[in-house]
This record gives sequence, structure tokens and C-alpha cells, in this order.
Amino acid sequence: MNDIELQNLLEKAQKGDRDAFGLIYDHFREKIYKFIYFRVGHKELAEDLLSDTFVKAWQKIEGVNTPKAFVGWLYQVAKNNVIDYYRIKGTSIIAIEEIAEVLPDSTASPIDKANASVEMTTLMELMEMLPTEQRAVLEYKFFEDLTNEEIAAVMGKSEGAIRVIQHRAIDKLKQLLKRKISN
Amino acid sequence: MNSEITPNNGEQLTEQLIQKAKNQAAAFIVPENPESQEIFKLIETLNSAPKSPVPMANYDRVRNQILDRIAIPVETPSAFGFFQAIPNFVKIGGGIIGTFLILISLTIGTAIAAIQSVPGQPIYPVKKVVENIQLRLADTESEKVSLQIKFANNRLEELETVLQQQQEGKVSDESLQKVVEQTVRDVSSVVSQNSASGDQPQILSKLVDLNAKQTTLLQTASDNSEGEIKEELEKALVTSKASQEQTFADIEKAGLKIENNIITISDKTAPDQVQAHGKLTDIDTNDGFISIGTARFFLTKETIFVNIKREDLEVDQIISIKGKIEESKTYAVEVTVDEPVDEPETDNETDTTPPPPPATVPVDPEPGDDSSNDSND
Repeated sequence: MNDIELQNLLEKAQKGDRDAFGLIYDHFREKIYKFIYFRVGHKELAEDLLSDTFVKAWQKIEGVNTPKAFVGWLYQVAKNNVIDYYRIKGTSIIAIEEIAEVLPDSTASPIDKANASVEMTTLMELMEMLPTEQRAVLEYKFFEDLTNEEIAAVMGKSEGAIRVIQHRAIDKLKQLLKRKISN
Repeated sequence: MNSEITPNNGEQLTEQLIQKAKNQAAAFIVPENPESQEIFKLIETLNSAPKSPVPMANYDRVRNQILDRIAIPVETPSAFGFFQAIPNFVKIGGGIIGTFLILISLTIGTAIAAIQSVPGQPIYPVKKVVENIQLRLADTESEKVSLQIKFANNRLEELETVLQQQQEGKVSDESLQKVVEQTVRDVSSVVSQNSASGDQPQILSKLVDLNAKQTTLLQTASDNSEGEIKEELEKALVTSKASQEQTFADIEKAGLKIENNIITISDKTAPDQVQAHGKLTDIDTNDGFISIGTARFFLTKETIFVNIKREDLEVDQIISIKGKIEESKTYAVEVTVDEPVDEPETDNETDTTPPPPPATVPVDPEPGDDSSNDSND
């Protein structure tokens, strides 16, 4: 679905067309579901939060003007739903990036670590040494295939800021790798 | 450099190298200098990370759930004309006080508002989320079932409120129809999921109550309605009655026969225990069971008889039975025949009569019998 088609569907949905909203759901459901699943590690719970994300999106859809804004906002709603879930559960979560630390095991990790190459395993170990923000951007980008605008929405930053962070993260990772090889 | 796009800084180059690795920039050619090649190799490695399989979501179910939920229009209050007439300073003062009150009530108020909300209100989805989370956090299966029943009761209370709102013209027929459909679906789902288990008398009792409540509610609403909405309510009523019949069938399988009177089983007994008190109405020596009204108890070699021998049991005797449920059948553990009540001068200190069962529940009491012990509720 291109931006023009999405814009048309958005306009119809804003006028109360549920079918149009259903098509918007069809377009984004998989990405949003995965985003939630990797943070709660439970299929049914992820489905519930997916449902709530879109119901909230419907309730506020009149305030969204462009498809680009809609996508980013959808991720923000999903992120807030996940954080609310942990809050209700009694787990003190401040940032979405901290969630991986409270998940019981690596079952919900986006990466299949058992089948990772030696190079990949080395890089993942080195990524642990990056500042949280830089590591998060690389994980969103390469492990979850989020676009810059989606990452910006989740992290509450501008797209420009995300480009800067990702550049610094790659640069730092390259240095860490060099140091490891030379040792 | 033979690239068609010349990066003007490091950040842009990194972005283009990422896009190239992700096959989103076919026209871009990676610069041949060692540093760019090195970064590109690193990016390619990151990009080739093996992804974990994600369990497939039931997207269609979620879609239907979303479309059902958004089908109920949010009632927005109409603008009141007198608001414009209020002086500005009053509006500002009111605004400040309002903000203060909102801040105070945000923590407590939101939770209460969510709990008290009904379908159609903006905060209602929060209630469903909280319920779902409570279900997920239930430690045991029986706790989960109790919660499901509690939430099904919530649905019925919401339906009652929405029915009332519809009578007052605050809710459209279409909205009511959606709520009715959803309620019957939710309640029937809880009943059908749990009634088949048949090994927890308290649960079965609650499921019967749930069905009865739903049927009564729909019947009353149908009686007070007309036209299209009446048809919808009657349709829902048919579904509800079918569910009720199925529950009765499941309960009969558990050895507790339902006729006109619903058997209420004490919550104070253990999950696999049941107690009954009343007039012995049937003794079947072939199959080895006795009945008090509609409740049937199988006798075993271990059954203890107090104040009477097994062969002396007679119809119309007033008895108390402590029973247990195993493999969907109810067995009598202890059968006690009550002492005749025509001895008014009983000395409590010397009374050797076994005390009556602590929490018995009348089963199928005689009409007008006020001696029923219903203190278990």
C-alpha cells in the first residue's frame, strides 16, 4: 500500500468508515504485533494489546493528518500500551528499552541467537558495550526492521536524531570490533 | 568515487550503506575506500542476523474484536448553550478548579471510572485491558475460572445499564444490539468453556446463576421492547436458553439433577465436596443411590450412616448428606438422619445428638418451607 492509498483510507476512516479502518489494520497488524510480542513475550497478551492499540487509534484518528504521522503515532500507542501493561503488573519500567531486561528469558528475542554466525555473535556481544540509546537504535533497525520514522516515534526523537545516533553506533561498533581483533 | 549519489557527510553515508544492505538503494554503489567497505561489511553482518520465529497471531479474531469494539459509537454530550453565557473569569476559575480536581482524581478516578464504565464510553477499553491482565496473572486455573465468571457478571451488569440507557433514549438501538450480541457471546463462551468440566460444584452453581441471570435480563428487555430490537433480543434469548440447557445437561452428568429449582451449593465447602439437607425422596437399591429432591448421591461401602442403618433408610426421612465429587459423580460420604423434632425439652448439656451439618444448603425445599438454611450466601 502506498502513501496515497493509505491517505485515502485514513480520510475514509476519519469519516467513520470502519471497513477502511479494517484495511489500515490489515496493513500494519503484523509489524505492530511483532513490536508488542517482542516486549511481552506472550502471544495472547500481544493480541490483546494489538487490539487495544487499534481501538485507541480509531478513537483519536481524527487528529492524524498524514500516513507518516499515523505510522509513528501507532507505534507510540503500542509502546504506551506495553508500558501500561508492565505498570499494572507492578513492574517498574521507565523506558521501553528496559523491557528486554525484565523478560523472563530470551524466547521473545527478535534474534535467533542459537543460529547466529560467529561474526554476528561477536557483534552482539560488542553491542552490549554500546550506550543504551545507540544499542536500541541498532536493534530496532536491524533486528526488528523498523524504519527511521518508526524508531523516532518509539524513542520520542526526530528522524534526524535517529540518523545521528545510528551513525555513532556503527562507528563505535566498528572501533570496538577493531580493538577486539587487535587483542 | 563512482557513486551516483555523493554523500555529503558520514551520517548520510551510513544511512545509504544501511539502505544498500537492506536492498532499498539499488542505485547506490558502495565507495571503494577501505573504511566504507569495512562499515558496509559490518552493516551487512548486522542485517543478516537470523530472526526468531514469532508465533502467528490470530489476526482475523483481533480484527473482528477491533471492529466490534469500534462499532459502538462514543456518546458525546451536546454543547450546552448556556456555557457561552458564563463570564470568562468564571470559566477560568472553573478551569483551574477543574484541572486541580482532575489531577487529584487521575490516579483513583481513572481506575474507578474504568471499573464503572459501560460499552460505548471512551474509558471502557481500559476496563477490558485490566480484566485481561487479571486473567493472565491468575495463579491457578480455578482462580482464572472465578475471574471469568466475575467478568461475565460484569458484562451482564453493563448490559443492564445499557438497556436502561436505551429505554431513556440515551443509546441507539444499533448500539444496544451490538452490546447484546457481545454480551451473549462473552457469557456463553464462559459458560460453555467451564460447564463441561463438571467437577467443581460451586463453579457449576455459579454458571447456572449466570445463565439464569442472562435469560431473565433478556426476557425482561424483550418484553419491554418492540420492533427490530425485540427481534434481536429474542434471538439472543434463544442462544441464552440453549446455553442454559447445555449447562443443565453438564450438571446432570455430574450427578446433580436440575428440575425447577436450582441447586445452590455452598461456597464454604471444598471444591470437590457438596452438602445437602432435606427430605429423602428416592432410594434406588439397584444402582445404589439416594436422592434428596433433585440431588442424587451414590452410596459406597465407605458411606457412613449416623443414627440409622443403611437398610433402614426410608423415603420422607429428613436427612443430611455430606458428599464428594469424583469423576463427575456425587458420592455420599456421610448420611445423617435428623433426630425427630417432636421432643421440645432437649437439654443442650446432655444432648448426644450429632450437631447438624455446619453449612448445609436446602435442596428442592417444600413449598412454604421457611426452615431452609440459606446462611451460606
